[in-house]
Amino acid sequence: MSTTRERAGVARRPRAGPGRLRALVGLLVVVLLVLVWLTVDITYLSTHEPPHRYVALAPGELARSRTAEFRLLSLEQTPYWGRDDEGLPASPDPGAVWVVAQLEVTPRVHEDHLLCSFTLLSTDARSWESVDLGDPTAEGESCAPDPEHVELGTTYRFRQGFQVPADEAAKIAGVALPSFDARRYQLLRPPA
Amino acid sequence: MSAPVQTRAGRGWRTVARSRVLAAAVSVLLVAVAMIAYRLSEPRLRYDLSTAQLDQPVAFGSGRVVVSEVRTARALHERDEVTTSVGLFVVVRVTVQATGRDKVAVADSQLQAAGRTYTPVETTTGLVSAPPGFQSSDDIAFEVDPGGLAGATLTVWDGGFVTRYEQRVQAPLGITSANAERWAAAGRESEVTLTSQPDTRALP
Repeated sequence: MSTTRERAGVARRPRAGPGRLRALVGLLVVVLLVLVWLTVDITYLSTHEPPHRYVALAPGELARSRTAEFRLLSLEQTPYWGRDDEGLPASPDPGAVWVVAQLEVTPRVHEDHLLCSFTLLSTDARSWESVDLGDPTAEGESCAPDPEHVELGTTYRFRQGFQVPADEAAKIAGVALPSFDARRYQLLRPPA
Repeated sequence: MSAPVQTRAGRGWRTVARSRVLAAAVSVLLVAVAMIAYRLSEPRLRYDLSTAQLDQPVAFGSGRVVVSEVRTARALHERDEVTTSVGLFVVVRVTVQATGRDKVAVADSQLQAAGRTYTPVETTTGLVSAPPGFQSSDDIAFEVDPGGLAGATLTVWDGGFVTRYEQRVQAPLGITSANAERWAAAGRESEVTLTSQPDTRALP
């Protein structure tokens, strides 16, 4: 007994056998592995390979990340920052000074861990990472309350300390907002 | 209309083309060709190797590195802990100076002597890093065979997950076959106190 399709003269499409299916899955796996490698490689290069590129914002202008807004309020030198191993105000290393950035953050989207590890940038493109010394007003890498306690739209203040050579302290350009795109760091500058 | 005539040669080729054995053989062949091409195209060394004299700075990354203060000891003191060796410890001071725009780091090191390669002991991290405008010094210790000290050479480099360019610095430690026994004898009588944290300061 012939089917309508056969009667109409239409050839039946052969079903994919297990061998062809395996070949397709194998090809898919290879493509995925290549994509994973490219993603890792490009991500690594964009975050590690110098030189970084900075987009200088106007003095006091807001910087916007994917989930929050940041503003730099001030940049000041100070002889002590945080606490040392004995709980005393920490002195900088010999020949260095502390530069403390006062910032504020306004979370717009809930995020498990809001990254706030700014880098301090000099006019000759040197940069320094912030130093976490357990200062009560500096909350380490995360500058906003936990996701359970954060209020979106509320502005929180925080400080970050940087250690720089004393002769570089007069050449500070601003602080750069951390980003996964090293080609477009937003550079915050204090109000004029 | 008659069906197309399929020759014996055509059927044979199709059978061969569908052969799994042939596919596997071609795959192995292609991988072998790729490996041979890769081996032929890569340089003899996969990194630049420069030699440093003790106490003399040598260009490293965007700054410099200095190898100094070679000591031998039978025990290492760090804070309240004492580590004793059945052989001998060789302790070396490594200083990185970030004179350029970027930070400079020694993230990995090894000591080679008498055909053996030693990695740093766990009590020393082997990591020395300085941000721009700073220098940082730390001790790196290796546990070695006291009978094979001659020709001891330290190699340091900044390893990375993905490295586009790698530079290694090799520093002979001044231990020769003529004085190796004196170094070993001195070490059997000595103990070294390691610094609890790297000595970091702004560059002058």
